Amino acid sequence: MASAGRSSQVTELEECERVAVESDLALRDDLLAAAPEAARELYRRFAPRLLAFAASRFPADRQLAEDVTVQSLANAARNIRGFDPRKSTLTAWLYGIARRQIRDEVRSRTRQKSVPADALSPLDEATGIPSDDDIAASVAARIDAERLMAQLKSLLSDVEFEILVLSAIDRLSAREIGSVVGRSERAVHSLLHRARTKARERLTTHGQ
Amino acid sequence: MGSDSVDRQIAGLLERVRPELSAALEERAVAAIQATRPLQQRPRYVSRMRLLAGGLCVLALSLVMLLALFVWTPGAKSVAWAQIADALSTVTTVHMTGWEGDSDLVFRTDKWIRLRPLAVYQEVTPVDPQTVKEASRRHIFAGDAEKTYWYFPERGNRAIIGKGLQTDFMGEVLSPLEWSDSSGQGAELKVIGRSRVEGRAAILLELPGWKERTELAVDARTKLALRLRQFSPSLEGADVEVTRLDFEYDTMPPEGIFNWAPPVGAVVEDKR
Repeated sequence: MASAGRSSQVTELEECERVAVESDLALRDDLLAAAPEAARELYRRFAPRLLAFAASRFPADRQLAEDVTVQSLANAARNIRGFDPRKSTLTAWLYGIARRQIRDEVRSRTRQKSVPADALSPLDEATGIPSDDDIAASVAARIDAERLMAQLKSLLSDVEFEILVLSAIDRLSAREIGSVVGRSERAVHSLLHRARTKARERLTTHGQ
Repeated sequence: MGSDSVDRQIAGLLERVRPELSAALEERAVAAIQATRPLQQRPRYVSRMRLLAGGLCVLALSLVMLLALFVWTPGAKSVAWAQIADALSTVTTVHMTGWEGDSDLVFRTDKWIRLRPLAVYQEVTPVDPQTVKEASRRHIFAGDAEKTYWYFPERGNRAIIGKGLQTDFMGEVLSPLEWSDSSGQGAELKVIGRSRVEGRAAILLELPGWKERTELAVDARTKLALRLRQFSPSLEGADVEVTRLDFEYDTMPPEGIFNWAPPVGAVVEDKR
């Protein structure tokens, strides 16, 4: 009975994976054929997650997080022929691109004098400004989150932080995370365990 | 707090840190994606591991080559020819005397001039005048190294002087390149021992693979030939030995030895 249940779970899992691979391949083919809706589909499927990933590295610079996301999506569309579903999922492949983009940004930012993030905000975002109370509450929550994120970032090594974020955003498997950060599955398990232990202590302290 | 709880808290933090997804951002991203064209070929990435492996290979190869350079001393067989060729390139003339077993011919003088115009003179003294009819007079002949034209009455006393090719008798005998037609290619000089020839320390070399077994003795110091012995199989089966001795280098020939005037009744066609 139990084995029958397990085998049905496995079948469902395999079915999910098959659908995901087919969906990835369909999007790849649409991008290669420059189908009209392909760009929007790419954005809708991946922009929220990539934006969160970028924001985790640049919590205080919204504009930069957006730039990284846009550039990562554009790079993915340009290099879509390099995506091989036998090696990774489209999600993991895109995180890999975003990760390289973030590294390039960090490198170029250390070379340049940084421009304040506010100065980079586009003017069209000034429309639809919410009330003062809403702003105060959201700004306070945001500042709190940014501070905590910055603390986690300084507490963890770069790769530990990346692995923790990838696991939290998308529930990526250790294998997928490994393909993004260039580590073995076993190493990812170990790093993830260490990162969670460190983060747990910090989050517990913050909760108190 | 379990691992799921940590992940949930991190996800919550990310949600708060993440900028809002605006319509403007969507339009900007879509425009950027649409503006790009997919590359026609798959991008190729060289991983750091492969780069490192390639670097190590190059390093190992360089070390092996360096080692080979030290191990490959000038005493090695394959260097012997280069040393002799170097030594030969410094001389202009080669002069030797010797004897030839099958015709009982004794070379009194045999001189190859290594500079143009090619000319070779030979003065022979017959041991047995019955065997060597023309040997009573001195011959002067000219031509290239392979075709030597003589003024023979039976050929109408006509000699054709072709374009003078620079000859290098010793080079032709010794050069492995020259053997390729008549013997195994890529043969090397084989060091077969050391000896004393004409009172001088000599290295004995063999030219393997040639149709005639050839033994060369070179001066251990100057690397110039001291003696050349060739053993050719005769019709009777026994080896016929040809020995050339008393090599002299850069000894100028006697004045007036090269007389290009044809003998009486002979005609020269100069096609140079």
